[in-house]
Amino acid sequence: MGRRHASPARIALYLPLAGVLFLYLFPGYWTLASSLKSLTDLMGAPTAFPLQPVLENYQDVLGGTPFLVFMRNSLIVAGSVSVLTLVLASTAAYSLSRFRYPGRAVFSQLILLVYLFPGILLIIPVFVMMTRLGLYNSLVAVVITHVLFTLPFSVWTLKLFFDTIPEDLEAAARIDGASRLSILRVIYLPLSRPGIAAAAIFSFVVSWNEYLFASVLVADNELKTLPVGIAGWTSSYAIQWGQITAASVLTILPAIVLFAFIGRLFIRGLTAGAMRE
Amino acid sequence: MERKKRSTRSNGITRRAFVRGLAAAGLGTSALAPAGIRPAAAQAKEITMWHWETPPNRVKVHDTIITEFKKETGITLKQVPINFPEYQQRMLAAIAAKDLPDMIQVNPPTFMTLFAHQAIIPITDIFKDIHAKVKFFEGTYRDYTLEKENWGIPVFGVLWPLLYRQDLYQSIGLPNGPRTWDDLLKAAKELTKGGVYGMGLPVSTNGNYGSQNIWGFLRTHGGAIVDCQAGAEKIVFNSPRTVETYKFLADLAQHSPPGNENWAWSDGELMIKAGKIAAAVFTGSFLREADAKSPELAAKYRYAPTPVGDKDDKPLNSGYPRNVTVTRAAKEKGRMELVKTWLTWLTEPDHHASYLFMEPGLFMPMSQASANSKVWTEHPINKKYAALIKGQVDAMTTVSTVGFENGCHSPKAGAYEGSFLLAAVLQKVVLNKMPVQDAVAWGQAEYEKIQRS
Amino acid sequence: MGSTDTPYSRRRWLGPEDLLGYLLMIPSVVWVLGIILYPLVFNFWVSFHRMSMVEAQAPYVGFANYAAVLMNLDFWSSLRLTCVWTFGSLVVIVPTGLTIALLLNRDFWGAKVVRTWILLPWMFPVIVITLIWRWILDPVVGVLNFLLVQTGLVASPISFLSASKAMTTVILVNSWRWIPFMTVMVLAALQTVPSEILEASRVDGAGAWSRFRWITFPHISPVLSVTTFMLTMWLFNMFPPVWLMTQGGPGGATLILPVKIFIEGFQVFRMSEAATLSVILLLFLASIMGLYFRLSGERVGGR
Repeated sequence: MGRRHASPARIALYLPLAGVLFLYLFPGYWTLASSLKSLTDLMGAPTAFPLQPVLENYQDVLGGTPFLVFMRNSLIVAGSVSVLTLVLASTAAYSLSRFRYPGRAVFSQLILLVYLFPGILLIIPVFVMMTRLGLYNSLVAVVITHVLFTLPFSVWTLKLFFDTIPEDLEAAARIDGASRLSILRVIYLPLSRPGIAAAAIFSFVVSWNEYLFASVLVADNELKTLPVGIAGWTSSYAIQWGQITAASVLTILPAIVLFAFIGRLFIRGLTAGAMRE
Repeated sequence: MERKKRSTRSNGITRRAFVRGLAAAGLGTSALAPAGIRPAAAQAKEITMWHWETPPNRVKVHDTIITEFKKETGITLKQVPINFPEYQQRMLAAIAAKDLPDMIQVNPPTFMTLFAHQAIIPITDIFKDIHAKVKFFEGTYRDYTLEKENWGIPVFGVLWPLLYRQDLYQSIGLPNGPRTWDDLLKAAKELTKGGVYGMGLPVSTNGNYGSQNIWGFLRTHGGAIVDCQAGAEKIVFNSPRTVETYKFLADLAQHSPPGNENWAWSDGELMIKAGKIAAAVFTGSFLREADAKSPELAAKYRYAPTPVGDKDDKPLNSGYPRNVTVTRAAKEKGRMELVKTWLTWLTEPDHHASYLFMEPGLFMPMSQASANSKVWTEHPINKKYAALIKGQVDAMTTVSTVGFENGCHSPKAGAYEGSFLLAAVLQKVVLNKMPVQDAVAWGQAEYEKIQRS
Repeated sequence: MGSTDTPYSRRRWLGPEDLLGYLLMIPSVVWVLGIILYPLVFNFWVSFHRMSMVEAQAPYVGFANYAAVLMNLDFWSSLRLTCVWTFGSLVVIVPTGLTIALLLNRDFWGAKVVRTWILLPWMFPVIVITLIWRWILDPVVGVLNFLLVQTGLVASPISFLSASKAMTTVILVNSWRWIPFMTVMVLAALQTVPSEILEASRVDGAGAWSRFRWITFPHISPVLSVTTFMLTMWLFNMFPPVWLMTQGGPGGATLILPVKIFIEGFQVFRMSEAATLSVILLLFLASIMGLYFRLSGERVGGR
């Protein structure tokens, strides 16, 4: 970490950047500040800071609503989706990247069909399918549906990262007699950590935020995920700002933890090390 | 770097098993969810009811009532609160999957959708029994009476009379609120000052709020969408009365806060709670929170019947008498007795009044018996804001729903309402500056398209 | 050894290698097609029939639905709006995401915190984002207008969701939500840029722009390209943000195709129309996809 001198060019770059950053981060701050305001505060003229910070919104949310249940459900679903997607996507990406068999290109494009179709029209057919399978009103149905959306992108992303790994590495390991699957596990996965991290974050966040299918495929209140539960608080007529903002702050905490944990994987230049080997 | 020699076969299998194991683990975690892989079979004495009152306080009231019901009868009622925007999709999906609950709470347009799909059954005998005891208001079951049968049991009403600030109206010489369109326009002009706007009229297709507001004015002045008095359903939207109504509304909209072209219900409610408008067409949903956080402001509001355009007009207002319908699943699964017990218990005046307090100030009783029950009259909100409550209960007798006017029970009621065309027409006049006659003619054509589809 | 050496055109018997390749790919293909094939085909079928209800008789009408849709000006207006929405969003998301990723790739004081904070918009559920933004932007009670008026920057409150401004506003709000995604993807891609080559070129005197253009960019361009392509597909089909902010209004100013399809299917119950619109959209997107693969050579076999 070197010292940087403040040159005029640097300031000219960083100042508007700081301005954009502020605008960018403002809604996040606004949400946090609002969650600490009492209702009279919220109804009055907008202020930068809560006039009298209160924790009642958080108490309302945590004590008076099934928020923790929703959180648990979201964690189960998003976690499962992430794991499942990574498992399926890494094998598929390896197949697309390093194997040559007829139909390879077709497969890779077929899975993109999912994205050519508006999800809203899938609701009734998926609902019918899940009912016939006896999976209606279960988180399994939600997980299965979410993986449908996260899989194609993850496959393609991991394939791109696998593509950057030099083929000699694999060749060398094959000479040593390693099986292709162990090569996948020992060479490709570790060297593609940034890609894996990106795919994991993508799958987790998409599932975490998904609303439509999580709402339609589940009947019990105790099985609702966070977006569905929170949306339910806004009845047809009213929005309770204090609770919505408090819930929003609580909602992103697990994602922040995930990011902090996985974010480390972004920072290392791993291919450099492999090449020296 | 030297790699240890590995035998290909055995390690290949091991790795594959590892991968499979991981996948199983993923599925396994999700199976830990309470409902598990297969939803629990309905217990012997369990019935399900769908509704869309999802805010936590309303779900809690349901829970309390359900617990009490179970104590007294041993029957388990399972409530399924569904977010309102997904309600129609869920209904359609359940119909397609042939997996209906026992009961579905509806408003008149949603009812017609269920009826058109033959998803529900008539319950005339249950209705007659209960009606004999509590005497429902006519407006609460009229829309649900088809082919000489009753198809629903009324549970509560949501009404949309005209809300106004009594203190502000008093200051311009209208202590009892606006009675005519001229009153309303004059007040809107004169009261737009000091950060307050004279009228909170949405010109918005962001949800049903905009269209709902227009409906009361339109019906009061004699306009309508459909007419069945001559036999077949005709679209009668394009009429001089409709044109006059829209001319008036376009004027009125000038005195509304900016941003009203995108208002949803929540925006209107926000304006009322924040004291930014002198009048609005809105239901009593703001009352509970307004009373808790700014009671002096809440006390300044009153209700009036929809203002009239000329002396021939009869005030009518938007409103939704909600009913519980019974699906054919209940009949096929032999649960009619349980359903009947629940509906009879729920509509018993004291129980009914407790149910209404899901949201005090918003849900109005369906029968005089409930309105007279001590539980209802003694509630603090009802005592404190008796005038506001009475205004809404009175509005029950002048309620009108889209697709049910002029002798119609339109199977397309849901589609007419879901099109938000009433507000779209007003938008054409106010936002696109289209001449009113042209906009109304356009609306007529669009309604006809829906009717044909 | 060396199935990698075999020219694609030479047909040969499928060996055990190929079998393994299939095995690794099949679960994903089955998962996707298993769920989506039936709805796709059913939807296609509905578009050739007149179906207004889920359980009704649906007579065959040939291409009548398609003719009706394609001859309706509303469709073309909606298509145009959808293109504005998509490409407007891309223009904001891609460069901004790229820039932020480049900046975040350095080590500076507080980098870790900034990296996490920058990604926040993506982690909020859409409903929360749209609610909060609508509140912030509200002309009467919103804080943005409050600040603008107080500081004298504008004379009277701006209605950000008016007919003329709504599209811009929803594009910006949605872009704000998706920029972190682009940032994450580019950041990941940046890790594959070999640092010794960068170092070497810096020592050789290459400026920041040259380094970016000749070293960094080629390495990240596959990920950048595929991600942008996928984002394009998603944007064309993206329903929640616009629906939650304006439901397609005011006056149809934001009536993009996914919203229109929803209204046709679930609000006015014109199922055939909804199905037809979605098939047309699908064909449109399939041709964009074809174009993309041809131009980029990114088709799997083509590298």
